[in-house]
Parts: sequence; structure tokens; C-alpha cells
Amino acid sequence: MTSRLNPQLIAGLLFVSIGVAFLLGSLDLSYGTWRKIGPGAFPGLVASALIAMGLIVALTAEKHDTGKQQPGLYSSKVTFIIAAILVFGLVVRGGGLLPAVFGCCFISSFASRPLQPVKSALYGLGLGAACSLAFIKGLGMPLAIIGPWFGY
Amino acid sequence: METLNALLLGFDQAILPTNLFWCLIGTLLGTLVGVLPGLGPAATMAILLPFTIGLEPVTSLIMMAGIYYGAQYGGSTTAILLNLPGEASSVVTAIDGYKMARNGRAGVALSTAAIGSFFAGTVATLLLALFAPSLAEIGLLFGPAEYFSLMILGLVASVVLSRGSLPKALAMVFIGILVGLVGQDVQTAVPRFTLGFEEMSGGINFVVVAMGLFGIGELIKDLETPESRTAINAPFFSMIPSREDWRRMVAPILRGTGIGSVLGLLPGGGALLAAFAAYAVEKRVANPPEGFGGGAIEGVAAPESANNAGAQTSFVPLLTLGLPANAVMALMFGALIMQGIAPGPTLISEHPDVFWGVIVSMWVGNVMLLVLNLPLIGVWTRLLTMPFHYLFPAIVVFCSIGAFSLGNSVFDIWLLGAFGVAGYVFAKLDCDPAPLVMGLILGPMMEENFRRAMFLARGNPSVFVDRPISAGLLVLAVLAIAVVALPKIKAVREEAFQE
Repeated sequence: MTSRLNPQLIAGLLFVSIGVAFLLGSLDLSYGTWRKIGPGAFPGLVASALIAMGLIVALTAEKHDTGKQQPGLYSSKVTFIIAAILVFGLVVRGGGLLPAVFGCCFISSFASRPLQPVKSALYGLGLGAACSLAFIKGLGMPLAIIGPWFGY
Repeated sequence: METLNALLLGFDQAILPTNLFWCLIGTLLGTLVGVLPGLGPAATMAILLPFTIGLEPVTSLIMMAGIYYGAQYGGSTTAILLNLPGEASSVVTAIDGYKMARNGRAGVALSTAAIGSFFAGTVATLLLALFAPSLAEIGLLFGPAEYFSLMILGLVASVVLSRGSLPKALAMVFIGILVGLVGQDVQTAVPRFTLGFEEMSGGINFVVVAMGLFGIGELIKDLETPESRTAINAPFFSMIPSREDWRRMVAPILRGTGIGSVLGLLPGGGALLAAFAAYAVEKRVANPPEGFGGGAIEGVAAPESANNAGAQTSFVPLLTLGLPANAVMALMFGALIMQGIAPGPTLISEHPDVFWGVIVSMWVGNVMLLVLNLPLIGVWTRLLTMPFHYLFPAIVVFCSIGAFSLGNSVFDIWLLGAFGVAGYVFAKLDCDPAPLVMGLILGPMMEENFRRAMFLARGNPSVFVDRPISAGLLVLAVLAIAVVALPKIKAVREEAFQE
């Protein structure tokens, strides 16, 4: 009926591809004998079972959701949240905790509806200062508050 | 007598000022996330796990446990006052509780929930103290074959009780197991599925996975469904139940406590199942004049007692057999491992202070909740109106810092991002991440026990059905699958229940 992919089918195909990836990976490892089972056997078994489940999910797809609306898979909000995490990771070593928290907080605030850049920036600075105080001064995390990028 | 001594040992631990303090923090945080819909106890515990490394083992567990049962209290508060169940386990409470609030009996409904929870918590703590040690002794008899079968049962139970279709939930378990196997093989030191990353040879830290799937995943989902929340000023009148109320709540509380304690013990059980079952039983047994759904006090007393009892007894399989019964317990398992304590039958004898300290602190925590929460209800409901856009950047920041602090490694932050995306995709595809986390925890142990059992049996796979305990556990697992797979009606009915 529908030429569009439904979530059930996508889920099934996703399971199958994850299963195939792990199955291929397990082929490089020794399966051992019944008595001395090698590192590849158990993952191979589980991966095969995963492929089987994926096929069942994909093949029974139509029956399960009729009449449900198709949710859009993509959302700009994910991008902002993930970007915020990545920025934190990129900045934290070189830039220090305060800039990392600031960047992470500021970017993630783009995911929210009423965007107020000035407020977000201030909030980010405040949060950064609070985190630096709590985690570096308080808990002794081995990080700089302001890192080498800024000449410290 | 022995139990009494042990409980006293627990008291010594539980009333240490540091432990009291962290117990309070845990219960308050738990109540907070219970009040706020969206962020559940599993996500909160995942986010906070990395920061508990610095605490004593017993202290960190006390705080984690506090979050779990605190969330049950908080969830019921918003369920009653706003018809917004903050926690899945208080969905049924909302049915009659909110109606009571509309009838001007909000105060009574809240006290009933609190009294029921407290009573159930006390009974469950005693049951835990009485029976956990003997269960642990049974656990000591287990060999690798029994452990393997026990874990199969645990995984099956988590699948059976998760929402969504059975094959999907099974697939999620398998993914969890596979992710859990990433890293160096324990027996041969061969790196597996590491994609050549040095950082992955030690395995993928399960905290990162849990934070990504629960924390980030739920967060993005919440952001997409903006809800306008306005606190309604429900008229309170009186908090004190009348003589008639007391008379009517006694039996439901007792029944709820009984049902909750038993269902919490089952692998896969816990607060959620307990609350639903207790409400279903109450509907058949009690006959309130208002009718269920019309503001019956029985409909608040029973599920609230049951979910608290279930929340506490679900610690039993974890602390005695090392088998986490649900996703929250899987996180507790992770907390124990991080502290260098192996959950299992030897926990009681090797770390009695931890075991009894945690148990007694649950009771202490319940007292705190009873004393603190009723006066604080106004504060909690006002928090509901706190704009979400202040909260979520902070959550993203805490997750990032948490991931980094696990091993002072930036690589864990990349993994956090990856599993955040995965969590979002799974949520979109309507796949419950809880079974994945169960597989992640149990997978590596399953493999190890499987290989050891096969080695001991000289390569004969019939060892799993020849040994009686192992065979019995496997039969239970098959039965559980059969019950769900055959009459598809049951799942449909449960779905209808949630509406």
C-alpha cells in the first residue's frame, strides 16, 4: 500500500545490518571447539539470532502498524544536542572546562524553541563557572579551567 | 537474632552523617525527577553514576537507591495533583488520585499515598532482611551452568515485561549483548569488534551507553514533544484522612504491599508491574461506593503501596544472586562494579556493611520522604512550571562531563554522542532501550559462564538441562516466553490498561 518505509521495517533492517556487521566481525575470530569455545562463537551465535529477529520484525512490518502516522526521523534538535556534545569533546582538553561547558551549553540551547542568545550565553558562562568550581576545585578533576589554547 | 544483629550493623552505617546526607540528596533528587515528567530514575542514575566514584561504596549505593524510591513518591504527587504521572509506575495512581483531588480531597489522597508507601517500604525492608541471606545461600550452590540459565531467565523476563513487540525486544537484548562483548576477550585476550580503536580494547563503558540511550535519548525525545505545564491549585482542605478513610485504606495497603513484595522479587519485575497488578486486583476485590475511576481511596492506596514494595524487593535478586531485575537495577549493578564490589551471593558475607547499610538506609530514606515530602508538596508542584530550556543544557553538560570523568578520556565523549544518536533512533523506531541495557550487563557474564560450563562438561551442551536447578530456570524462561508469545491478547490488554 505505502511505498514509504515504516518504522517497523526500518527497525528490522537496522537489526539485520547490525547483526551482519557483528557476524562478519566474529568470522575473523576463532570459534574453537565444543569443549574449548573460542572468542568468536558466542558473538557469532548472538549475531545470527539478531539477524533472525531483524528479519521477523521486518517481515511482519505491515501487520503491526496500520493507520499509525509516520514520524519524521530527522530532527534539527538532535543535530544541536549531538553537536554540543562533540564541541565539548573537542574543546575540553585544549580549551579547558569553562569554555567547553560554555560552548556545549550555548549550542544545545539552540534546540529549544524560544532562543535567546544573550540569555543562553550568560547561562552558559554561569554554568561553566559553577562546573569549574564544583568539579575542578571541589572534586579535583584533572583539567584546566582555561586551557592551553588561551595561553595558560 | 542474627537478623537483628545484622540490622543493627546496617543502622550503624545508615545513620552515619555522610550516609544520611547522601540518602537525603538521593531521595530529594529522586522526588524531583519523579515530579518532572520525562526524565526517569534510570536516566538520572545514569547521568549521576560517574560522579559517585569518589564516594564510599555504601554511600553511593544509598544515594542511588534513594533516587529510585524517591522517584516513586514524586511520581505519585504529580499524578494526584495534576493528572501527570511523572513516573510510569504512578500511571494507575492518577486514575483515582486525580479524581480525589478534583473532589477536593487532594490532601487525603497525598497522605494516603505517603502512608501506604511508607508502610509498604517498611514491610519490604523487613522481608529483604529476613529472606535475602537464605536466597544468597542458594546462590552459593550455583555453578556456571546455573548462572547461565539464570541470566537467560533474567533476560527473558526483561523482554517479556518491556513494552513493544517481542521480537523487537529480543533484538534489543541481542544488540546489548553484542555491545557488551566489545573489547578484549577475557580468556584469550584477543581484541573483539574494537574496529582498531585502542580505547575500546577495555570494552565500552556501560555508563556511557546508559547515559547516551537513557539520558540524551530521552532528552531529545522530550524536546520534540513540548508540553505546556501549568500547576493547578488544587484545593487542599485537609491532609488528615477521616476515620472512614483509615478503615478503607487498611486492606488495600496490605494487599498492595503483598502483591508488590512478591512481584518485585521476580526477575523483570519491579515497581511498574507491581502497581498495575495491585490496581487490577483491587478492582476485583474492593467495592468502593464511588466506583473505581471515581476517586476511590482504594485505587490510590493499593498501587502506591505496591510500587514502593516492588521497588524495594527488586533489590533482592541483585544483592543475592547478582542478577539485575530491571534497567534501574542494571544501573545499580554498574555502580557496584565501579566501586569494585562484585554483586552476587558472596556480597552479604564479604561486604555485610554495604548490604545491610543499603537495606536499612532504604527504610531511613522512607522516613525522610514521609516527613519531608508532605510539607514540600507546594515546592515540588511549583518546580513543574520551571522552564525546560534551563534544565536541558545543564543535562547535556553533565552527561559530557560525566562521560569524560569516567576515564579522563575524550573518546568516551565521542561514544556518548554515538549512543545518544542511537538512543534517539531507537526512540523514534519505538524500541525500548531497557532490554538493551540488560543485555549489555548480562551478556559478558553469560558468555563467560557458558564457556566455563561447556569446558567443565567436556563440551557436552546437555549440561544445561541435566542439572536440575539449571533446567528449572530454563523451563521458567520458556514458559515466560510462551505466555507472552501465544495469547497476543495479553499484550493488547496491557496496552489498553495504559490508556
